[in-house]
Amino acid sequence: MMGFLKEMISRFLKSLQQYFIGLTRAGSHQTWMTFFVVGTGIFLFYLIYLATLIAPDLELVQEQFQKLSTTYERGDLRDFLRRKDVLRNEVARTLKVNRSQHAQMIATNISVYLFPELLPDRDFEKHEALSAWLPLQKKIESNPGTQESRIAFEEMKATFWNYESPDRSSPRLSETARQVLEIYDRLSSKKQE
Amino acid sequence: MARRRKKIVFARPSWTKLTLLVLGFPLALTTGLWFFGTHEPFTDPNFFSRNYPASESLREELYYLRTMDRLKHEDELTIQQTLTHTSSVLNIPEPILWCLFFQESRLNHLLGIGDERTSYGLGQFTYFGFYEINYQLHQFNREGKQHLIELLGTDIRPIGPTKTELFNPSSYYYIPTAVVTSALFLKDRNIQLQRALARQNISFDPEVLWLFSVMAYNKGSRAVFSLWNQERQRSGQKGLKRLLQSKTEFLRSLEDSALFHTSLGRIWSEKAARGLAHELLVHMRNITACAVEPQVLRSYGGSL
Repeated sequence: MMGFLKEMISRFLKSLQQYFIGLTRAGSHQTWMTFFVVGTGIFLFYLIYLATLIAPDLELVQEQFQKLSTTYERGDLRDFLRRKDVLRNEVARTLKVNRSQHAQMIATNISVYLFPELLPDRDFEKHEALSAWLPLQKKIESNPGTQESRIAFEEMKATFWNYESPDRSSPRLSETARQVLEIYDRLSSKKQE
Repeated sequence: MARRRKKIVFARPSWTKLTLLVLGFPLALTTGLWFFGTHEPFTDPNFFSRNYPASESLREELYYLRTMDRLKHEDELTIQQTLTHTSSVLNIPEPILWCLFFQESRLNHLLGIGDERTSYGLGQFTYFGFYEINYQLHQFNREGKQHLIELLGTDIRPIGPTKTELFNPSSYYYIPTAVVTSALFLKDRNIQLQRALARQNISFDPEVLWLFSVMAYNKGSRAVFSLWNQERQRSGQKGLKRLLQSKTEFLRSLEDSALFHTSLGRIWSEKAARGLAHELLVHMRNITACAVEPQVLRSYGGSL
């Protein structure tokens, strides 16, 4: 048995030796090149995979969210949608990777008012958001600065207040809801340039 | 003569019958235990008190309001008549509606008329409450407009807190309008919560859902959704179903300040969540004491 194993190992080592001797011969640089390219590719892929496992900086996410309200000041809808998409990716990554309860809460709250599709299906707020205010936001984004978008904004504002406001004597909204209203207030009152 | 002994012959059971018997019995037993263990009767006529306010202290307060003339007899009569009619048309338990108004304004339909308040009258309505009734009623209740006409004779919208014409049917300070409008808003909350549960195929006890609707009326539907999400995270799907299907579990939850605090903490800052949770618990305990039959509360055995 031992003899058989020894023979197997020696055959394997021999074939490996012959293979590497072959690589040192002239004209074998193409094989080396292939090795290099494939190796680098695998390494880069691994780095990208690692990056997805690292949660985005929470402060950065919050900063991007706050900036979204001023993004449309120049009336550049494309820029607004691009930045919103970047924020969406960051929020999605936070929800997926960041295990801190605080980070989850912030990302969930942003998702409720901007990206409800990111919430799990069993979240009671998801379908409420998808049916109650997401269509209004799409309406404003498709035609900013028009009377139609302004009506949609007013409807969204009332919906947010009735959905959330907990205190009649001193009415208030959560910071996230307030900021989303600020974003769409700008978008619905200024025409695209 | 020898008597012939009768031979008892058993029919030979077939394998199919035997299998059905062996599998069917435990299946029937489990189903029965599950159903009767988790479901209470869907309508319980004795849960809400017919003699509201049910609590002794609230009755004393009502007596005090009457004797001090803070609640005028004719106003109380109008409130009562409209309320009875409205609750029957909208299918809202009468004690729930009365107790909600008592809790919000002590049945003072002119509350806040002289100051710069942001909420008005009998059901403490806000600007956005009016917006929903005036422009979004159809989104919740397709029959809303029809109910409004049935109850008030005509579509009196837009409704607002008009101070100058107190007997104008479009003024929220006009008693029938205040009662009907607030009841429609409460009905909307009930429909909203029902829809959310239907989407996830979760059955519920209707009386428990009315109490959650009162919660949504007072602190917004988001507070209720957050509480349900929190309960599911804490006790799983079974725990959430227990809360929605069992009156006892619901009453028990009103003593669980941690549940209210944590669920509101998902929306608000720590400090704000603590204050709001306390407010909501007090509000719900008062509504429960006012609307639920005292015998039910005593048999529950908690400290409510």
